[in-house]
Amino acid sequence: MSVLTDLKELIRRRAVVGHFVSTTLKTGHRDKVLGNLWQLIDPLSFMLVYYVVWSIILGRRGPEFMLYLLSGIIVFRLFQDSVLGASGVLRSQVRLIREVYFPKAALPTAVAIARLNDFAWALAALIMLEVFFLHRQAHLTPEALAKIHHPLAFGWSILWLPLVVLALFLFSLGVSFMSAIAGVFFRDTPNILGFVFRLWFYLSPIFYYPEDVRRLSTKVWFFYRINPFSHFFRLLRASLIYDKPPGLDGMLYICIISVAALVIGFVIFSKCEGTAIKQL
Amino acid sequence: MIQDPGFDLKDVWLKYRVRYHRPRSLRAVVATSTLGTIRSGIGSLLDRRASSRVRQEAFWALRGITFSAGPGEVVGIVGSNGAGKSTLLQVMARIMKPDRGTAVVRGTIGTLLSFGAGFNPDLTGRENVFLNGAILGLTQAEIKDRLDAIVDLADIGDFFDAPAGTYSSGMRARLGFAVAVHIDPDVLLIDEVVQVGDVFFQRKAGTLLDQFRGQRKVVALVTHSPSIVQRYCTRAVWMERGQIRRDGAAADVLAEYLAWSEERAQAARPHAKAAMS
Repeated sequence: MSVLTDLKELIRRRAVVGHFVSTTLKTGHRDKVLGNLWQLIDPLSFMLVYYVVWSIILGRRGPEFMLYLLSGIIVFRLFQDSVLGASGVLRSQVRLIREVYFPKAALPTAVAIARLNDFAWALAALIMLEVFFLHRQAHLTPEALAKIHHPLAFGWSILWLPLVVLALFLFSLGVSFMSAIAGVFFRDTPNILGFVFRLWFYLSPIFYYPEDVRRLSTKVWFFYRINPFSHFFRLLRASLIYDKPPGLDGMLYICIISVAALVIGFVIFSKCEGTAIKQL
Repeated sequence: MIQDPGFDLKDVWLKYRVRYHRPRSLRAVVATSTLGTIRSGIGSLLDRRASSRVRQEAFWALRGITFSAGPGEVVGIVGSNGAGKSTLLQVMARIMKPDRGTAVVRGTIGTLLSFGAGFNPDLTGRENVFLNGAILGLTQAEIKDRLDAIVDLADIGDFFDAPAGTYSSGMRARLGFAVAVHIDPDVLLIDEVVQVGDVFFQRKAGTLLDQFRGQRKVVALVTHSPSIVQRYCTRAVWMERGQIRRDGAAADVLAEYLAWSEERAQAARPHAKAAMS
């Protein structure tokens, strides 16, 4: 019952969430020379590092691979940055928490929304890059085009994008609720999360293709199938850069996973928040 | 609000978990080198007895608090350090939920519990006012209406548009007080803050407390200053070790508390002398 009360309170006080979001965004890049430009530069520079390694040093992929990389990176970063940010948010706002009453769930929620905002900027960077590559691809000779493994395309499948992003956001939010509580009870949380994210990052198809995984072993393939990020990446890429219809089973899978993560995360948060505040 | 503002606390118990880091032995105290830390780290993993060096114990900060207050009351809460005064205010402010018993508060709550420490140091005073106002439940327009009055009461000049991290503790407290007062709460909770500002500010704050009493609102304030209790409070509550020792007219309770404190100071004096020689 108290979980529902907490949920209602959070919805009633959504203006507070809004203020926390704008605070996070305002203070994030204030007083930097490049300011909010960093929201574009960050994901792009991240992508360039991997592109340099995979395409230039190892010489295996064409320039279109940039889009494949970037689309994976921005998805994973939304999740990782929300969860990591949430793990410290109750601790960092301890003074405010001790001073006034407000629904504490607003804090991890605001972290996730602020990171969703970053995601939107990164998405804009991706689309700019895509426009450039589509233009380039249009002027290729048929022979050159045939050589491209995964030709880019843009079309009606983009309509699936909002649903994929919504599921991704809810999944990140749900896990953020859990990490916010874990961060209070265990000071080791950021260390553990750092390890988990590094492993998860390499186990997810960010800079390799699903067919590469399939060749490896059935065990790895099984993990690939249950890893929600395989599906998030595949669906986002299908709708955004390949214009393919998304598989409905994959879509159903991420929707169920996301709603489950959100419900479990919020229940844990609501049940533990009272004890957590006293631990701060 | 049709209901009269006020609060009802019934048999409120609240516990903290306190982590004790006790040195196990003299050797453990000496072993503060890196090697020692590594060894004790591994040791605590291998040996469960070693890890019990860090013990968690329940500490009951409030032990059966029952009291209520209604409109027009200005309640001063006095008592020794660690008596549970601030925890009590936090329960009234709904910041903490009691482990046992019930705490009901009627009306909107304004809190001033920690010298405006809740301000975000990276935001300017102005931005903090909007943030705090929103957290306390005001709309953007309502805050705009009160901005002039808040600026006037806080009286921190150009610093209003500087990051709150650059404020002195007095400035932070003044801005915090100005915000808390101007959200026009039915119940105002204050924790040892009024004393922070300069004399001029204290006068202004005092006038406001009198106004609150006149408007039949409820104020609870924790203080160590006998003169504040005497001057502004209609009632006083004396707390010791998580319990209410005395609750009544401000002058009576204060007199008893001061006499008790004096007695303790007298009793402590011979020990102090013994320690000196």
